[in-house]
Amino acid sequence: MKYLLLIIAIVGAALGATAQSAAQRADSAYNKEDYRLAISLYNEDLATNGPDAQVYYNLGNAYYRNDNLGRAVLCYERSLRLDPTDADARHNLEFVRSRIQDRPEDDTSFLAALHHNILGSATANAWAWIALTLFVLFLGAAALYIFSPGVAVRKAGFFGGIVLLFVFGYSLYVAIDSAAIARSHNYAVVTAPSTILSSSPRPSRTSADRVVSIHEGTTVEIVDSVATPDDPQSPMWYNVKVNNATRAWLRASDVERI
Amino acid sequence: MTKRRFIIFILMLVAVLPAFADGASFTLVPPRTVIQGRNFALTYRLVNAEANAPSAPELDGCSLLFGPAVSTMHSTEIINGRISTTRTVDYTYTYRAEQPGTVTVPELSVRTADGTLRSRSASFEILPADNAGSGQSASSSGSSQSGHSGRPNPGKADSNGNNGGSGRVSADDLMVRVFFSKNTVYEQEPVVATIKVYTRYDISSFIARVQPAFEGFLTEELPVAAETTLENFNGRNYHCAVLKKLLLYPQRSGRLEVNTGRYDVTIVEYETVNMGFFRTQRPVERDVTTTSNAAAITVKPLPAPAPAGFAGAVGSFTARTQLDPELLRTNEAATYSYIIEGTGNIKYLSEPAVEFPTGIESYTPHAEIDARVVGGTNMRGTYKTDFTIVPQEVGNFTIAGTPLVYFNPESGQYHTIDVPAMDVRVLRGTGDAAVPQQNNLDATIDDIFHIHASTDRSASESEAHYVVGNGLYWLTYLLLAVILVGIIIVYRRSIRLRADVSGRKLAKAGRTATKRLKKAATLMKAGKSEEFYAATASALWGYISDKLSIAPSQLTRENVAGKLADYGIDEAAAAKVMDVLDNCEMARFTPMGSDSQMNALYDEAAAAIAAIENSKKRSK
Repeated sequence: MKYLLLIIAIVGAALGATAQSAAQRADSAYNKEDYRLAISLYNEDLATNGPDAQVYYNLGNAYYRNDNLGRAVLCYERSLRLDPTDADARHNLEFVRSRIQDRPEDDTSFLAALHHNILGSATANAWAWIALTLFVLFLGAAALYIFSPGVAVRKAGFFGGIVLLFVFGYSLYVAIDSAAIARSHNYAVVTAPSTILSSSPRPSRTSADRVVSIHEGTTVEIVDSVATPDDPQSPMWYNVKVNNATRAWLRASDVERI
Repeated sequence: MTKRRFIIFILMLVAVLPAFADGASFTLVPPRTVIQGRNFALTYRLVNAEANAPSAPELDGCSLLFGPAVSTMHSTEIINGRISTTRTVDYTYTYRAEQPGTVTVPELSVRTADGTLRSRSASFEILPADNAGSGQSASSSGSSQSGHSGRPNPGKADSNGNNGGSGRVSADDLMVRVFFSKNTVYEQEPVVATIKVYTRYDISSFIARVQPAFEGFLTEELPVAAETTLENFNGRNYHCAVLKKLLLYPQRSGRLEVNTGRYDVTIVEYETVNMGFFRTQRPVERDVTTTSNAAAITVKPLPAPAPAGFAGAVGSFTARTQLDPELLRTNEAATYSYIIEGTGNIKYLSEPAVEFPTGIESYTPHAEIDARVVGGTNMRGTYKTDFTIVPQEVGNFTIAGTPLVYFNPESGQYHTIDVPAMDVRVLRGTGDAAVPQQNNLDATIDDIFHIHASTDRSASESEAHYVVGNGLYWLTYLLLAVILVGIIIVYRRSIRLRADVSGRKLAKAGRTATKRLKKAATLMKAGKSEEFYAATASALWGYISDKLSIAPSQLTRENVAGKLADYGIDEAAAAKVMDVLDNCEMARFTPMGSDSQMNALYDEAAAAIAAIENSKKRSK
C-alpha cells in the first residue's frame, strides 16, 4: 500500500512536469523575452486546440513585442471576436493602433462610441439571453395592462411595456450585430509592412493607378474579390474599403482576414 | 691681464682671507653634441678650492690632443657690506672625436686642502660625420664647440664654402619634418607629433605661412624647450630645433595624413669677399620658402562590437564614486562625484550616465578635468563629474553604480570597471515641514498590458456557437407570444361568459325550445292533447325565460310583454307571441282535442320562436 502511494506520487510528479501545454511554455518564453519562441508556441497551441481568446491575446502581445504590429492587431481583433468583453485586449488593440503608421478612421460620434462600448460589454449570446428576458418582462407588462383591474397598475404596465419593448428591441439588435461582427469574415488587417492601393486589380504601373499606400496594422473592409491568375505574386485581389472615402484594390496576400 | 690680477690680489689682501673654502665644488662641463672627426673641449671647473690639475680622463673613441689649459678667474662681490669672493679655475682638455657613439666621462676626483672633491660622471654623444661634406668638417672646430653658447653653429661656414656663394639653397640644407611617435595607433590612442626644423644655415627669421594641419585629430600642444641641438639626420649633421610638439588623439580610423606646412625662412649666408690682399666673409640674408613633409599615420578602429556602456574612453583608468556629505537630508543639496583617474584621453571623456533613484532629484552634472602630460607622450589626470543631488524623500535608496568601460590599446581589449552601487540613507531635513506634501499616485502605463496566464485547455470547437443563429431561439419568442395571446383569448372569453350569467341559457334557448316542441309534436301525434298543450306552453315559457333573462318566478304575462318590447321585438311579433301563450293557456284549461287546432297552435308557437330568434339577430 505504501509503495503504491509512492508510485502514484512519482508518476503524478512526472506527469506534472511534462503536462505543461504549449501555451504555458509560450508564457514562460514570453516572460524570458524570447518572443520568437513564444509566437511559435502560441501558434502551435492554436493549431492543435483551436481558437481561444486568451491565446490570441497573448499571441498579440508576443507579436507586438517582436515589432510585428500588423499581426498584433490581427490577433487582438480575433481575440475580441471570441470574447468582446476582454478589456485588456481592447486596451492593447487601441494602444497598438495608436502606434501604427496609418491613422485609423475617426468616425466615432458619441452615439457610435456608446454603441461600441455596449457591444463590448457582453458577448453576443449574453445579449441574446438579455433580449429574451426583456421580452418575457415585456409580455408580463402587457399582461399586467390587459388583465389588471387597477388603473395605476395598468398605466404602469402600459408605459413599462413600451419602454421594455424598446430596450428589448435594442438588445436584440445588439445581439444580432455582435454575432454578425463576430461571424463576419469581411474584415482584414494589413500584415505586409506596406502595400500600395491600386485603382484596378493589378499592380499599379503609373502614378495614376496608385491610390494611396497603407501600412501594416491598418484594418480594411473587404467589399469584393477577384481572381487574378496572371499575377504571379497573388492569385487574388481584394476590393477594400479603407475608410468612408477610400475604396481600392490590393493584393490578397498583403492582408489577412480576421 | 696681469694688471687686473694684481688689482684683484690687492683687493684680496684688503679683504678678509678666510672666505676661501666656502662653497668649494668640482664639476665637469661636458660638451653637448660632438661630430665625428672634430675636436671638442672637456672642461673641469674647480670653484673656491686649491688643487693640482686633474689628470686627463680616458675617453672611448676619442684621442687627447692637448691639455690641460688652465684659466683662472677671481670675482669679488660686495653686497650690503657682505663680501663674497669666488675663485674659479677651468681645466680644459681638447680631444678629437674619432668614433661615433655615446661617450661616458668617468668620475674624477681632486685632492684639496680640505678633502677630496668629486665630479659627477656625464655622457655625451658623438654623431657620425656628414656623408657629403666630411672633408670640410675639420676646418672650423674650436670656435664652435663651446658648451656654453646658446646656438652652436658648426658647419655653416663649411657648407657655405662648399656652395661657393652660388645662391642656391639645397632642399637638404633646410628641412621641416613631422614625426609621429608611433606608426600605428588605435582611435583615441594618444600619439606625439613633433615638427622639427633641420638646418645647416643660420636663420634670422622663421615664419609659418601654413601650419601643418592635423585633420581628424584632437590636438594638445606640448611645451617645447627653446633650444637647438645637433642632430645627425639622413647621414648629415644639422642644427635642429623643435618647432612644435603635439599630443594627438585620432578621431577616426584609416590613414590620416598631415597637410604640408609652408614656411618663409630668412637664412644668413656668408659671402666670401675678396679684398685684394685677404679674403673675408660677410653675411647676406636670403628669403627661402620651404615646406614640411606630408606625414601619415595608420589609425586602427577600435575592435567591434564595443561592449555596452562604452563611451570612448581609451587608455587605462580607474573609477570610484564618493558622496559628500555622506548623510543625506531631504531638500538639502549633496554632491555625488564620479571620479575617473588614469592615463589616456582623459580630457575627452564623456560624462557618465548615472541613474538616480526616484526620490532623489539630480541636476545637470558639472565636469572637472585635471590632466597633465606625463612622459611627454600621454595625458594623465582625473576626470571628476559632480552631480548635485537633492533628496526629496526620506528612506533608504541605492544609487546604482555606473560601470566604466574603457579600451586599453596596450592589451587591445575592452575592460570594465564595476563601480559598486551606493546605499544611501536620507533623513528628514531640518527645514522640512512635519506634514509631508502628499504625492499624487496617478500614473498611466504607456504600454500594452501583460499577457494573461494560459490555462490548460483541451481542444475546443472550431466555430463559436451563437444563440441568435439558432431557430429554436426565435421559436421561443413566437411560443411566448402565442402563449400570451392564447391566455388573453381564453381569459377574454371566460370573462365575457362570467359577466353574462344567462348567456349560456340564451345560447341554448332556441335549441331547448325546439327540443320541447319536438316532444310536443310527438305528443300531438299520439293524440294526447292535454300533454301537448302543457309541453307547448312550457316550451314557449322556457324559451322566453331563457331568452329574455326573466326568472321563472317572474314569468307573468305583463312582465313578458314589457320585456319583449325592451328586447326590441316589434308589436306584431310580440302580439303573436302573447297570442300563442294565451291560446296555449286557454287550450290547456278548455280541452278541445281537435287535431287541426293542435297543429295550428304548434305552427304558431314555432313561428313565434322563430320570430323572436330572427328579431334578435336583426337587433344585433
